[in-house]
Amino acid sequence: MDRIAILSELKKVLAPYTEDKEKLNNITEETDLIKDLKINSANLVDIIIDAESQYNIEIDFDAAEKMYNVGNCIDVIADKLNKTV
Amino acid sequence: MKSAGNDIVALAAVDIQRTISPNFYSKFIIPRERELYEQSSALKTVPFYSFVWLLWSVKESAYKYVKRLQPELVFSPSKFVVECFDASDDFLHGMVSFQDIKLYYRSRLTEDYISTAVDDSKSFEGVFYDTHQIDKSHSDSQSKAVRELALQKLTTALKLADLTISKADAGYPVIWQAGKQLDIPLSFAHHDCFVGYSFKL
Repeated sequence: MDRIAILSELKKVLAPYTEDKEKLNNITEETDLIKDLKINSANLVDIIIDAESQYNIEIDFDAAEKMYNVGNCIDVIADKLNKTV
Repeated sequence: MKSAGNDIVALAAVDIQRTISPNFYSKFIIPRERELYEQSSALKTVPFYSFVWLLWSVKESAYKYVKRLQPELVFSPSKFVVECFDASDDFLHGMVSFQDIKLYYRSRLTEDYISTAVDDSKSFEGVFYDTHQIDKSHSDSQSKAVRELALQKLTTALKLADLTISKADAGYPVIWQAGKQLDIPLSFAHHDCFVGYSFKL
């Protein structure tokens, strides 16, 4: 799965946690989950759990801490997907 | 340098079944902290899901406090370690550490929310913090309500008029009066229909 495909799937993961659907449709790798998408920090762990389910991967403790913007999320997911191939 | 940090978790907005799953809470709670649930008499009547969100609330509050001092800091909740829990009449309190920084927290647990404030002094001298319920959970409503709430208290505490609040690039709120930035650290928190502030004079 390439980064564009991961980004497309990631939008579905993020959708329940942001009220700004227009910003979600226009996200880039620089988009900050909290500052830009106004996702409440209390939902960050939900996003990690949902991403695990969406991509059938396991996101460990250390990797989870990097997922504060879209680019970092894609890095972590791509890394985990590569390891499961 | 002074700082401030607070956080709120609205319990109606969390998924309780998901919260109590080890796969969920182990993302930010380290084994040593997990053991505190059975070890601390102060937590006897606290449901496990509230304990999980209590830890989150303390860690997030401490992160906000340190972020003001270290603007490049990225939130790594497992690196903020909650050391203990003690009970007072109307709040839980204890210590949370990050590297060589030790902070004290006070948390209020109700059926509806968990709110926490942190400070570098156990006495919380000069620290003002409060939590309010609002009608709407939209981010614009939260932002407006928490500013009004904080400005009301700041105006009374400082006996100054014409205070305004803006956001620093790092994301934390700053207070202005007559074009001059005041050296008063302020922290905001909101979740669902609850908003709160913390500041230190």
